[in-house]
Amino acid sequence: MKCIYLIDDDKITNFVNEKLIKHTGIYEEILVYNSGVKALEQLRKVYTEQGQSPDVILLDINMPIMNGFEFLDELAQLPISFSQNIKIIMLSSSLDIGDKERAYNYPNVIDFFTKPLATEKLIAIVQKL
Amino acid sequence: MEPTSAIQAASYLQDTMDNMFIHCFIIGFDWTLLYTNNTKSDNNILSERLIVGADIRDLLNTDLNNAVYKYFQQGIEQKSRTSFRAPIYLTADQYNWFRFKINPIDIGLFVVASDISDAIAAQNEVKKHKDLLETAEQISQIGSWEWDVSKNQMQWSKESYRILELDPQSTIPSYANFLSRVHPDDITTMEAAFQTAMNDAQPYDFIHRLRFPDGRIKYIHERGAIYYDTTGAALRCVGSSQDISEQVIAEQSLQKQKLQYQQVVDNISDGLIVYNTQQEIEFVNKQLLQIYGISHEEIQFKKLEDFVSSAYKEPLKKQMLDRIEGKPAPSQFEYKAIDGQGKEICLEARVCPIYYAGVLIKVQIAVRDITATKRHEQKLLEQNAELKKINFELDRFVYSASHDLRSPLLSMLGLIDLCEIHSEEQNNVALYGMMRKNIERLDNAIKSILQYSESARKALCFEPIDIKALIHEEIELQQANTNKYPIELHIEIAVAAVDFVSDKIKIQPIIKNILSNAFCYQRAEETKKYIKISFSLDNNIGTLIIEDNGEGIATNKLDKIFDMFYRNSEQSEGIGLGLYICKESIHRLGGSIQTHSILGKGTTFTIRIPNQNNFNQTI
Repeated sequence: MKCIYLIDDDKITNFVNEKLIKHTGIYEEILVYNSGVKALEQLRKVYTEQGQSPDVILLDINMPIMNGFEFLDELAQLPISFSQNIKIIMLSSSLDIGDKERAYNYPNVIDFFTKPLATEKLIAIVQKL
Repeated sequence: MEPTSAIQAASYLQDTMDNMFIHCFIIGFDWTLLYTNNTKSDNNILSERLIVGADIRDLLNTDLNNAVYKYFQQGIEQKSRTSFRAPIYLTADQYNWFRFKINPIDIGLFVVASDISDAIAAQNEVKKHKDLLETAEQISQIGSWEWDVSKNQMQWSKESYRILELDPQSTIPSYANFLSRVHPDDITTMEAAFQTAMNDAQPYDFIHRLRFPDGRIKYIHERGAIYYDTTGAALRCVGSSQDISEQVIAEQSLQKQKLQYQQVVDNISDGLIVYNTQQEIEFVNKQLLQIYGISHEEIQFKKLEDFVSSAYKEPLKKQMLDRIEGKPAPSQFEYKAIDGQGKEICLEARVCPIYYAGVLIKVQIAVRDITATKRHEQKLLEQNAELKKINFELDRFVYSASHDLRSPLLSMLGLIDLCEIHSEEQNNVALYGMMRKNIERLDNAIKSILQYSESARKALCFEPIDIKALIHEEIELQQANTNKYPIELHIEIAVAAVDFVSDKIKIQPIIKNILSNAFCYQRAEETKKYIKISFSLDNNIGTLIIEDNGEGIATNKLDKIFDMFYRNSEQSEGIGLGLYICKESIHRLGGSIQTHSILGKGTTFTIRIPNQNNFNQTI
């Protein structure tokens, strides 16, 4: 069962993206988190209980408490056998080239999308996985 | 006289003549030597050769003695009395000088010959010394003179005449003639000095000037001594006159140069100080005294270290020792000094060591008061730090504001996407499209402001740029956005990816903005719309040409299109920052942009950017 996590502090973005992804029909399970902290808690739980880990995470950068990069740092702390299969697509309104370059330094990051989410692009990417 | 007495007298005469230091001899008219005395004279050429009975012509009738022979011949033939001085030669190197007195007598010639070789030699020696003296006087430009006070007669040496520029043939050496050459202004002083020497019976020594009719001046150093008789009356004066004009002129020139040097060093803005290896101050200029705020008298008894702030004393002393030992020491440095009022001042010093025969003897330092500069520098540093802080905060503000402004817009776009998917009403879809267009326009405006903010602040970072890939990437984006009508593309890029080095972040918006204009401002009625793009590298200048046959720009608007917030088309959806960003970016890269446009025909932008392939650094 294909699973995707959406992590963004903006509720409307999460609402819209959930609907759009559901409309594509690629993922059976779509889990939405409005903070990286909560998503990380879920990932740790999945690891401990050996549950369903996400295939892809759509991750925002600018979020309160824990931003996208801090989330990626925490993810790297989880056992590599678990985290290596989780592909990250950054989804941000940032136009800063520095943000893009920094994101690609993380091995899990496979692409950098600027908002709004273009579902055709998402489909093209995940079909290659 | 009795015969006995006559014989005795003749014998006495004979003895007397034998005891004389002269040769007395009689030559007969047939040149035979009839008589000679036996002189006590030292051996000379005649001593051995005057033999009674011998023909005297054997000795005299030779080439060397021909002159003497002629005198004798004249005496014999004309029976005339004569006296003369001449040498008698045996060989060219062997001769003696004689004074001859020839008296004709009944039986021939009575000749008295005195050997004057020594006198001649002495005379020659005197002449030689006189010549030497003249030469020496000429070389040293010292003339000599003598004044017989009692007879009021003077004698001047040749050099004296030369110095006075008077003709020895026509000028009698006299005080009046000497005075005619003395500078009128110097006569009184000169005579007073001479009189003092006379009165005090001391040698005299003074300098006066000569003035010549053509106005030339000579400087003469007179030295002399006065000789007195037993009564104390002056007998004669002997003196020398040395022409010292060259030395005086050289000295005057040196003084003038010294004065000029002093004026120069006093008028330069730097303070100058010269001190020796004992740190004793040898020279300072006015400016240095002003810097230290002390007088020339006050500095006389100071040492250099008296003016150095305590924290700098040891390091500067070490530098000095290093310099003396020939170790490397900085020639330019800043330090803190203490001025005459005990106030701390900042100085910049430039050191110039002065060596003699490889040994450091003096040090010259040029100092500049940089107290005010340092204060300003400190102020600038503080202001710079403050500006950096403000800039950083502004950066953060722009980043956060743009994000915060864009986020809701992007969410709204997402919502419109959803609405479009779920709407079955065609009218609504059109309305959603209009909403999307306006939100996108607002988003583009924010993106432009953000782009400008980044472009203006970020430092240049050079790297090889794949210009071809960059152009194709931008074309794809433009084609996706502008899907209204087909546009022919002619792309000509013959530059390898690694050959062009520049700042990618600056190049990207240039290509983006100009290409987006080319795509956007096409003429609907044009059937063969095209955009031609070429990039070439020549003489290390990258030339990008983007040509379209779109709307074109009116000539009177051309100088405005690069202005901030200027929009030149009704179709314009931006906020008028695109070409402004281009111009700024090109300017930062050291390049240029030219626009050629005809309204209703199209526009060509030619952008030239230096290839920074020699640099690999951040500026």
